[in-house]
Amino acid sequence: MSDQDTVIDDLPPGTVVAIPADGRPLFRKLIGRDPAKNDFKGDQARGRPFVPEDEAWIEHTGLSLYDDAMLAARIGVKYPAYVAEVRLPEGAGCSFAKTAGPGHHTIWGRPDDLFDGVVALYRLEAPSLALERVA
Amino acid sequence: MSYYALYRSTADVVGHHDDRASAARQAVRIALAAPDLSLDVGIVEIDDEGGGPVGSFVAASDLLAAEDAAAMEVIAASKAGEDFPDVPELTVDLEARVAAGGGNPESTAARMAEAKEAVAGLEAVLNQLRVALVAGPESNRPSS
Repeated sequence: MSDQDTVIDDLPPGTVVAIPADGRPLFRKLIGRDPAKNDFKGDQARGRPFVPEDEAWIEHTGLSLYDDAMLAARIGVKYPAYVAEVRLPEGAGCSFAKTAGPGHHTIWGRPDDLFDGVVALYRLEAPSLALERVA
Repeated sequence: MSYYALYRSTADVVGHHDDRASAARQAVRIALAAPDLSLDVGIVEIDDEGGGPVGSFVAASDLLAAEDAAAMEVIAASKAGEDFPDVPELTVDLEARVAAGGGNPESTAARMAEAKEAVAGLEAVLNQLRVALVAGPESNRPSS
């Protein structure tokens, strides 16, 4: 175990380490078939309820993206699923953190900036579960 | 295995839990706070290695319909006033409030009078339609 691992182990549960966006690709499940700015709003911006005993405010203000397109498409289990590949914009004040389970990240940023970072669109069809790039 | 409480439409995770019951409780609490989201918020079991879903998404509304034990815990706590103490009563007994001196009796009476007048107008239209229906299409047929 390295010194860095030891430091991380000492952090209390629920600690979130946010990192400035660095242009890396992450994947966002879309509500419809075409990306829209509305797809890049977090729970707080959508007016979804905040139940404080269950959720930290920092998580309520962010939105979920995944490091794998198939994972983003399958997690909600509703087909056809559309997923946008987003390059998190550098220099726009966006941040991200590794949170929750494998492949899941929380992102903070203006919906306009995240929407502008869309570089590709994928569709997952059932029952084949074949992921196809459509744009 | 672990469980997400999440929104299906956007795959936004609101909680990552070691057990199904706590994920279900979170999803149901959200659904109680915003019933219009009860089909969108729910739980899914995930593979702790790859992060993918193992089973099907189960909406909070389905948990409630199935009388899931965790969902019923939330309902019982809510009824006992342990959760959501700020949620207002969904129904208001207007007459009881007026009788108790609350509200504005004069404006309430005026609105009730307006409502009765509107109902009377609708009944008049309905009676005209009944008459036309009884008379049948012959009465409306143009003479040739």
